Amino acid sequence: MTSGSKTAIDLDNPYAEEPIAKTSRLVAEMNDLTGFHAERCPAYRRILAAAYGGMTNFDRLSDFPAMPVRLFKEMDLLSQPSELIIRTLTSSGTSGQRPSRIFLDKDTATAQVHALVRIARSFLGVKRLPMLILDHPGITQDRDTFSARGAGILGFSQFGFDQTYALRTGTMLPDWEVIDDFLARHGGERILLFGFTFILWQHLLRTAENCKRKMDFGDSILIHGGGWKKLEEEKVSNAEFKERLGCALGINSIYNYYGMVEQAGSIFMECEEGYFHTADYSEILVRDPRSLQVRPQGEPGLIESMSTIPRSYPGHILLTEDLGIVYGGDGCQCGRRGTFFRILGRLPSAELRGCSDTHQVQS
Amino acid sequence: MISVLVPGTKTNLEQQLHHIIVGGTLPPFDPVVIDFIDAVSKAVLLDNAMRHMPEMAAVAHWMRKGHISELLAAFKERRGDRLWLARGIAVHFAPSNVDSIFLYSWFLSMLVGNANIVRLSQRRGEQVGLLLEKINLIFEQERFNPVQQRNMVLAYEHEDEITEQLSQCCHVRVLWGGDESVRRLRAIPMNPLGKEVVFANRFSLAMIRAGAIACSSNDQLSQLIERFCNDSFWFDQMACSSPKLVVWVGEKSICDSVKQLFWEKVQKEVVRRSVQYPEIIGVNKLVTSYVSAGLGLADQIEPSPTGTASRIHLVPGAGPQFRRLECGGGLFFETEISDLNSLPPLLTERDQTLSYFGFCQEDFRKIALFLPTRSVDRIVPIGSALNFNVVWDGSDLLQSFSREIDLQ
Repeated sequence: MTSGSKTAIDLDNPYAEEPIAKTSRLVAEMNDLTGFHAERCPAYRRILAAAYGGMTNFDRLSDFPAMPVRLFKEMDLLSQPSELIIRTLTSSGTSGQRPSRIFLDKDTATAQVHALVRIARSFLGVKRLPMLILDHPGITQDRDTFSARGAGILGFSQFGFDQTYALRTGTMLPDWEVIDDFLARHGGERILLFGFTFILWQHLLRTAENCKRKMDFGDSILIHGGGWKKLEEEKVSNAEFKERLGCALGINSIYNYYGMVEQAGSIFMECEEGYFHTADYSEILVRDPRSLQVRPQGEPGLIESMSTIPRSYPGHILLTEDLGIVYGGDGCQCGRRGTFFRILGRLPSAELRGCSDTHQVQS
Repeated sequence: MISVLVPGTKTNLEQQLHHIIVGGTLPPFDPVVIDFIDAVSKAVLLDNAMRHMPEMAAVAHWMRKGHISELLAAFKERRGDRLWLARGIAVHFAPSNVDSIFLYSWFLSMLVGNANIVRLSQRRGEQVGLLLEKINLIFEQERFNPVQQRNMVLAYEHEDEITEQLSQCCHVRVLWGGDESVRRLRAIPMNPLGKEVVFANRFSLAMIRAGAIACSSNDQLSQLIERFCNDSFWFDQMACSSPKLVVWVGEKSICDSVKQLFWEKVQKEVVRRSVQYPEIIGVNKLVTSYVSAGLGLADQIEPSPTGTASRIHLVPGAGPQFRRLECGGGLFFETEISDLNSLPPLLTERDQTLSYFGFCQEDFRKIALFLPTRSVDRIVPIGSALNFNVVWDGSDLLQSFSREIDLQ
């Protein structure tokens, strides 16, 4: 973040900035970041040189070079000397594929925390809540390298106290005793529940439904994020998932978020209207998957995600392999400003023919 | 789960295996084999749907009696008065995704008189199914019994037990790559008397003399573009022999102007053919292009290389590593050299087909001696890269599938 632009930002509300002002601030920040990374990351510099004649200054957000997210699976990209790297984040990665490796220095790690705090607090309030983590305790054990799941849990843990893991390591079955104890300790309090979408689906919701176990979390709040692939395969919509989850947990406030390990911190929270929102750290564009031209609002395409956070790796502008639709640049009924959008799923994978069996296309 | 696909779905595996083991071999180019292959050719050509599948049409053409006679004539010439016989039982492990290869491998081995067991992958194209149906119908004719009893096509997933059983009874084991399949299959022991014929992953390139394009007529140029596109896009650029690198030969200024013209015409041609790949293939090409530049292998890439034909310009002196980045779907590496003498240092042992335009055979006779060890097995005009030939990956397959009795 450039220091001069901070004045426009509301310290409590990351969804308050006027859109035209936001865009011109982001253009300046993206120019700053693009130049910064081009200077410090040789691989990024070579890409800009080969594809854009070395240009690092652009007038419109849609003109900036976006790095395909898979680049971070194929090569290590750093904009800081490796001795300043304090943590490496890895994506879960589909089987047989190298996971993404995202290198964080102290400043970027701190900026991620700040962003997450401002975004999450605008939903949770400032008071820490008793926190039930819908995952197993083994997931956050190694503190130097984190999976996306571990990083998410650790990031959200700062909004809670008495952090308790609800699933057993190994079997991934709900530990009902632990859950009951936790509820007994915090009866009547507002609780923060946090977990990953497919873990909730696979290991909590279905088990609870099968053994007809109903819990009552009252006015607690559940935040979940991460891949929808398994739910997509089983044709479970967001709405159905929310309803069944609400029924099993006796909970009304359920918030999904969209985010990626390549841009941890600046996540996109889902509002009460069912749209993901960009905060003042981020912007979303949708591109035609064939031409990579920006598509107008309301039309589906590949999601490009911008974040002002990354300074230790050139991941400030990423072309994802997720399909989505931007519904507006401002004026969501929920009252939050900023771009609001939905995610449709992953770009379908496909294979080419040929003599070779070692270059199967995976996505 | 093992399924017998030929000579008929009701075939008992053990029984047929027994037939094959006790049946012995046939004489080379036995008339019954030639008739059988010709019958398959006719069946394909008479089928309205199959005739219009370019891959099947090419196979059918290759199987015609006329063409087989040419093979026989060439075979006889090479053999002279030496005594060449069938080797015995050949087991062919077909590649999983170029459908027609198994047929060439199988029929060439059949022609020299071997008994054959062909293992196909479970995931095979629809046209293979149609073809096997035709073959089974032909096998119902009694006159083809000698062929029917000596051949079998199986499908099973990677079950090492059956692979080992087949490998122990065979005299030739034919492994069609990729490298991973070859490694996996090679780990399985075979008959100590058996011989192995292996086709691993390969890389291929096209070479164009820039001056020759500059002085080509419009018609000649259109023909070149069409042939180049056949070589490149028929198997989505995933065939071993499809060009992934284009080497321009000539002065830089001529190369630059000619390249522009060439690629514009290629773009037009792919649009005309409505070649279009799934969207994810475009993203793969984007990733490959950016990785090439990021690793310092390329100095020029397209910002949005998601179209059907995209280019990556190699840095001068780029090492051979870019080859492992190939991803198919119309992504071409490019480089320039001043003359033919600068070609050998660019090549590696992985390189199989060098297709050319603007050169003649004599040019290559001169540089052949300077090629790096093992590199380049085929030097063919652009347009012939995908043509299957009896000489493949450096060996005469008819000879590889035969044995010679030293008669003194």
